[in-house]
This record gives sequence, structure tokens and C-alpha cells, in this order.
Amino acid sequence: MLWLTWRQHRTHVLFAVLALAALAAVLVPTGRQMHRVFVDSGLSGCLDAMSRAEFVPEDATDCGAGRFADRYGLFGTVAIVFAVLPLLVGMFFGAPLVAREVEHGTHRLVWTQGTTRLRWAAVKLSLVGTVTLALAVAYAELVSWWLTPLARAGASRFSSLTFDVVGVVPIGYTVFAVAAGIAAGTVWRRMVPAMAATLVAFLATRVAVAVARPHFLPVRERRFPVVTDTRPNALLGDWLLDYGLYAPDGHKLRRVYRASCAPAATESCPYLPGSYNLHTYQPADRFWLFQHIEAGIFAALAVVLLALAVHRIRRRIA
Amino acid sequence: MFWLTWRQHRKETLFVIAALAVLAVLLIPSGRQMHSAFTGTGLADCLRGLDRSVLVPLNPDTGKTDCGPLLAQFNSRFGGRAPLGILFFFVPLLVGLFFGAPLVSREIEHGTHRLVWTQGVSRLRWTAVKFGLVIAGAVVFAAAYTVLLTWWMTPLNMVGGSRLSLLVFDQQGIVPIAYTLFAVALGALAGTFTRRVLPTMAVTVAGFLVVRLLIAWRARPQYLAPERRTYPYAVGESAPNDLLAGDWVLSQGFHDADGSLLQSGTVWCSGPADACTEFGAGAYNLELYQPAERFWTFQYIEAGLFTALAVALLALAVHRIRRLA
Repeated sequence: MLWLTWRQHRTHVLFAVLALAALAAVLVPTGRQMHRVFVDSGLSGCLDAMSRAEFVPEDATDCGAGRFADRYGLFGTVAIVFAVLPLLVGMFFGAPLVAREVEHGTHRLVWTQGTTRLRWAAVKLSLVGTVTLALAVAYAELVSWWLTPLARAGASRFSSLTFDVVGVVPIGYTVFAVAAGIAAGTVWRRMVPAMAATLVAFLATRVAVAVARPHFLPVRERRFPVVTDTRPNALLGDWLLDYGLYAPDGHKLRRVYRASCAPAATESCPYLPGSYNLHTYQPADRFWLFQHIEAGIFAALAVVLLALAVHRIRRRIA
Repeated sequence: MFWLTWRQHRKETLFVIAALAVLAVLLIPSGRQMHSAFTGTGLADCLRGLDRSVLVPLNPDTGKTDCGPLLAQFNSRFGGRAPLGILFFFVPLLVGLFFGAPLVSREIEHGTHRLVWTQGVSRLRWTAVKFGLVIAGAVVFAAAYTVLLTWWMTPLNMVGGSRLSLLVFDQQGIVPIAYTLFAVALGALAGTFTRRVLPTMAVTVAGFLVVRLLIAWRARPQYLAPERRTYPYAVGESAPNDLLAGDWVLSQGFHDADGSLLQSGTVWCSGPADACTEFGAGAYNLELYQPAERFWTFQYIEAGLFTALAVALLALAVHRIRRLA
């Protein structure tokens, strides 16, 4: 059974390793160059030494982070393409796993040769699971390394361009996509519909969880008066969810990032006394917590889908 | 044959119509909101009123360019949506994957082509009807979503950089239709070689990504010779025109008076001339760029390229089908 599974999937594995090598061939040189500029321009050192205070003086340096983010903005844009890698793995590794056997009737051959359904399922699932896990860890590590300078210089690691392709969530997405593919194959039993179902299920789940993400933990608020000579420290990397200018009675006047008057110009300040700015945000130090919550959600969904697949293999597939 | 082809693909057609409906539900409200903000804030009129000179005078009241504050406001509100368009990079690929790749490979894998060919339908007719219907469907779908997306992206195009730049150019105009055609043709041809669905799909993904990325990265900047422009380091009471962002800048460099490169990127200094002496007199910026007006020319060139590739792939596929056992 081990040998059979390997024979069935060796071209898959070869293909995946080649794809990973191609990815590395693009990311390693460009990433090294970006890391070098990040250190040589002094940006890295400046960010290490920067103030951790919540508010900083009006004229505080941004370390040239804005310029760096502009220069490498395209890299961040390209990174969004990596968000579909888990889907491809699910469609090409997960969906055909059962669907192809059932479509061709080859599962019957195996089941009548002394291999039980459970053993068949266990060997196939564990081998494909191990390989996809290894692949997912490899590319998640690679992309995380590649994006590090941009994530530190950019707005926030929480921005969906970054959060979704670094850390541990890509591993959760991949495991989920493969499990969805396997389960879809036990339901639709033909490859192309199973792949299409994987696509739809993956996109729908990803969007739904991404919409829920800002509410994983209660948001924090940051109030500050309009008369001030400091500004919020944008380099902290907090995930800004909403912002606005509020009247003293608490109703929202406008959606602006920050309305302010210097203390010296209080007389000419156009805002009512007592008006304030309000930012709601998720603090930057929750990054890993959010990563683990999201990866956990997808891992749990994957376990449920795999249990469903095993159940259907044992009871439903003739 | 028409009825058979329709029966084979009616589920997929339903799927595609549902996908288009979902897309319309997502894009139309957010697009209307962007369009009304774009005209309502006066940004559209402001940008229309700009001339094409490289440097424009600063507004003496704000110390900024005339449209600068409106642009910044619009960008902070909607700029985050621009990257969403990039996800449409994959739509032509999906069409090729689910419509093109199984077209021939699935019949061969299941042996059903033999049944049809022995019922008095010639191979050529079989191919013509299958390819004709699927390609027509794919083109209609591609045209529908491209029109929607092009409309959605219009305000973002005006504020967020060049329409010609990588992954922005690719989602609008007419090129997505040509990409879709190419993806379907690639899938159909791959099926005549690999003859099984899954490997055909894998080859389609790999082939599509390689061709698309190579052409976008390597060939597109050179469709026409880039133009060059210079502007000084000390720009006085003016600043680079906001419209320059519409040009596709291929390289930027900051040079001193004798022309040696000081750093990449641009550096400029507004204000009285004696305050801008850090790099010596005569320091200037040099940009190589493709002007924004070339957008449609580039669209036709790239669409033509992919259509020609698609026709070649289809011709080869027909040739191979006529010789299949």
C-alpha cells in the first residue's frame, strides 16, 4: 500500500518540488537584495532603535520606512499571488485523492486485494498529509523570510497582503484545502467537480474567516485630543480598523485619520473644544496570537472534513 | 453534437453564471461608492483640469499641488481596494483549467471520444463544435467580467499609479479576454498530449503561469521604445505633476550635474533655490517611462500576442486530434 501510494503520487511530488524550487529561484535573490537594502540604508537599525511610545512628536522620523515601502511596493503586491498556493495544493493533491480512484474504479481493485478501507484511507491520507505539510512549511518559511523587511517597514503585519501569506496561517490554509479536496472527492466522486467544489469551499471559507478576523479579540481604542503636538506612532504596526473625528458629545463628524491643531494655534483651531480623534485597532503584539487563532480554526475545520471523508469512505462508497 | 456538448457542459455553465452573479453583487455597490466619491469630492474635475507639464506650481495656500489633498484623501479611503484586482490574475487560468483542460483529455481518459466518432460524427466536426461552443462561452464570460472590472477600477486607476503597471494593466481593457482564450487553447492542446485530466490541468497551470509572467515581466516594457524625461532637483515653488503617476516608470535615477548616478529613485526639493543646494547646482532626475496614453496600444499588442498564441495552439490541437487513435 505504501509503495502503491508512492507510485500514484510520485509525479505530483516531483511537480511540487519543482514548483518550490522555481519559487525559491525567484524569492531568494530578490529577497537577499531587499534585505541588503533594508540593512544598508540604516532602516533596520533605525527601526530597532525607534521609540516604542504610543505617541511621538510631530516631527519624529519615520526612518525612511515610507520610501522603502514605496520602492518595494510591487513585492508586497506580488505576495498576494502566494495566497492561492494553498488552493492549488488542495485542488491538485486533495481533490483527486479519492475522486480519481472512484472515477476510475481502482479503489475496488485495492479493496478486494486484502487491504481494508480504513487502512487504504489511513495510508493515503497520512502520506499525502505529510508531504503537503512539509511543502506548506517550506513555502511559508520562505515567503515569511522574504517579506520580513517589507512587513517591518510597511503599515502593519496585519494587513491582509501580509498576514495571509506569512507565519503559520499558510500551513493551516494548506491543510484545510487538502482536507476539503479529499472530502469533496468522497461526495462528488469525480475529479473535475471535486476540484471545483474545493475551489468554492476554500474561497468561501477564507473570505468568511477574513471578515471575522478583526473580531477574534475585542478591539482597543485610542483617544486623543485635536489640540496636540504629538501623533500616534505609526511604526508600532498596530492594525488600524477604524478612525474618525468625534464631537464632544461622542458622535462621529468625519472619517479622517487625524484632525489636529498645534497648541500654539488653539485660537484659530476650527474644531469644537473637546472634540477628539478615536482610533480602534488591534495591537501589533497580538500578531502571533491572531496567527494561531486563524491557523487553529482552519486546522479544526480540516480535522472535521477528514473525519467526514473517512466516514464516507467506510460507509458510502460502494 | 450541439446538444451533446451542451449536456456535457451545462453544469459548468451554470457554475460560471453563478460566479458572475456573485462578482456583480460584490463589485457593483463598492464600484458605485468609489465612482460617486471620485466625482463627488471634485477629484475627477481637478485631475481633468491638469495640464501635462512635468512640473506644476504649488498652491500658495496649502503648499501642496492642487489635487494633492483630494488624491491623498481618496487614496486613504479606497487605496486598500486596489490590490483586490490582482486576484483576477487567476480568473483566465481557472477558465482554462476547468473548461479547456478537460475538453479533450476527459473524453480520451474515459474513451468516450470513440463512441462519438463511430456514430457518424467526423473528428473535425466533433472538434469544431466542442471547441467552438466552449471558446464562445469562455469569451462571453471573459468579456462580461472584464467590462465589470474595468469599470470598477477606473477611479483607482486615476489615483494609485499607472494603468500600465504590472498586475493593473492585466485586469482591464481587452487583455483578459485574450488571456482566457489562450488558457482554454493551452488546456485543449495539453489534453491531446497528456490524455488524462489531472496531468493536463497541471500542465495548463504551469504553462499559463510561465507564459503570462515572462511576457508581463520581460516583453511588455519593450513593446515600444520607452521615453525619457528629466526635471531638476531644485523645483522652486512647484512639484512634479500628479498626472505623472499615470505613466509607467521603468527606471528612475537621481544624477548630479555631470551625469553620474547618485542614487536610484527621485529626489526633489521645493522652496527657494538657496535652500536646495545639498547636491550642488544642476542635479537632476532622469526617468525612463512608457507614457500613460500608450495604454490602448499596449492592450492591443498584448491581446494580439495572446490571441495569436491561442490560434497557434488550437491549430496544433486540431492537427493532433485528427491523428489520435
